[in-house]
Amino acid sequence: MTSKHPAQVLFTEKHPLTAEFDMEFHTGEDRSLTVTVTTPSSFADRDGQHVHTGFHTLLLDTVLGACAIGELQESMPIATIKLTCSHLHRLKIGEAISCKAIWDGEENEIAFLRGHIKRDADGKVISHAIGSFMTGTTSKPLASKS
Amino acid sequence: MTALFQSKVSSWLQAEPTSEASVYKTVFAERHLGNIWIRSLHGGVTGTMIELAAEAETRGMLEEEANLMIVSNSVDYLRVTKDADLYARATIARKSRRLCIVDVTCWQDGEDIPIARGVVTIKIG
Repeated sequence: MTSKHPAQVLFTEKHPLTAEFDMEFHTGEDRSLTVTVTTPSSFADRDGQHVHTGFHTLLLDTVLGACAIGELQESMPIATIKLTCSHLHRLKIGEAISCKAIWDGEENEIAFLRGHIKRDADGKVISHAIGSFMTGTTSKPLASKS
Repeated sequence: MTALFQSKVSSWLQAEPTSEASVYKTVFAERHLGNIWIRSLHGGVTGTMIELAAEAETRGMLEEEANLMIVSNSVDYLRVTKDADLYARATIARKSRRLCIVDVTCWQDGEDIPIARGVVTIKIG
């Protein structure tokens, strides 16, 4: 039986995000994680034909974070510190894409990753990102603070 | 701006303008969660709202049908969020003939307790 990527255990069909997008997880030997998905109509932009670049951002944050979860030595929560995305091209609704994140390392409880989205049809880079994540966050959410 | 908030991405975010100029709102929905155990918003949801707010503010300054392309978005996540509505204030830092740079600050409990800030670069034309 093929073991699941730790992030795939987190992003099960019960997670609201993955319940909506049919994502497939593929682990790479270069400390990477690739997620394949089809651009959803639910993120259609005002023209009704392209997805809004916000979907690129959402996917990159998800996959970079998921890659970090998989590379950590022990299971722990993470939180995005900074995410910078560049959008080179637009995507139409219904396009098959691959989002790849690469682990660059961890230092002082901060994990560093980079990633990109490519269109499967022609391999063109659509968006790319660099991100940093706090590992083992102990911060309480606003709701629990009085 | 009207067409933007009638788009499907706005529906997914449940995003809408508020009665205050330059302030936009995302009404919380379960699908917006990132960490389902502490029930915090997905960072990408915040990032998407920042892009949407920046675009809305830019369209408000230009004509509704202006040809715009969001080329970059850099977000600092300042605090852990909760399962509640998200507000975003967009301020145009600089608009030239071809570029618009927009600062966006997000909050939930109060604008003096921001949960994220972003800088969005938009190509005009």
